Amino acid sequence: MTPLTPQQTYCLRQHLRQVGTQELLIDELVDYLACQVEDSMRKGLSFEKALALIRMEATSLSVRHLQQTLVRQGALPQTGFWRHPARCTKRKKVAFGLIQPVHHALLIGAFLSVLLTGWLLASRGLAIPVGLVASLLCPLLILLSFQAFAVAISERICSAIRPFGPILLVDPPAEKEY
Amino acid sequence: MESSNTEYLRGTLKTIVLGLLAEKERMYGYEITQAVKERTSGEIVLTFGSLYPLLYKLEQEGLVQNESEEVEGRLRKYYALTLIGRQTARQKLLDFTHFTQLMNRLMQLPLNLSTPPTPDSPAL
Repeated sequence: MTPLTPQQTYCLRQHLRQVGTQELLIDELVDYLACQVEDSMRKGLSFEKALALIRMEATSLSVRHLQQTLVRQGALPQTGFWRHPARCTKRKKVAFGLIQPVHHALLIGAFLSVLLTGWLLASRGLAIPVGLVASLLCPLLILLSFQAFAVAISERICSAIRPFGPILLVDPPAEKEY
Repeated sequence: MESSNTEYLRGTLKTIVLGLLAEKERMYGYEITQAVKERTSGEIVLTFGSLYPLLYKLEQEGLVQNESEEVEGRLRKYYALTLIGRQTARQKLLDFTHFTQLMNRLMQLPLNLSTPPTPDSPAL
């Protein structure tokens, strides 16, 4: 039997990480799946086809069910609910600067609204009062925007050292032994 | 038939794994599933989702111990029976043999079920 190359083993490891396998379990499952892939390849399948079969078997659902069972048994540590990927996605995106926090978006929206309203009123001949209001409001909004920008930058720096540990599953379904 | 197998296996999976481990000095996860698959001609297939919770449970109960070893660049965990595990396996297998003998005596296939019903046969 030809053993898998390190790259092929890495593919399996990556797949298990993608489906949310805890690090404590990953080595054992990598070996299990690698044996399964080697077996499929011995029967004539290509690595890609064998990997596709593995992806169908080791889904996030099956891995989650296994981990939940092991957590209930006390064989795996339970991690916090806040680390669940579905819970953290938005938080992570904000931390990495992929999306703006809500209050930043509101500030930018308010700033643009004032500008647009000013432009509309100015087009109706109310240029002087609107210019006055805009000249008072805009520096304030610009200052607030700068402040929001500074907060976003500091959040991004903090996110580099923020731990995003293994994925967690709480709220397990009813136990199923086999 | 598959659902019946699953139903019966629920209570016997522990005995199966203990029995297999009793035959060899040590086994790893995939080896156990393959042994089950080969001996039952593919009729019983264990998944990692059913095997590992049991192995971890046996380990917690002190019936099994594991040792990790690097094989082909991967970390492989071998499971072996402890002394108590060996005694438990022996007892479980004896109990199971006795149970199947009882079931064989109890579940004699009635004559009216031994042949499939034909369209001419009277309805019950």
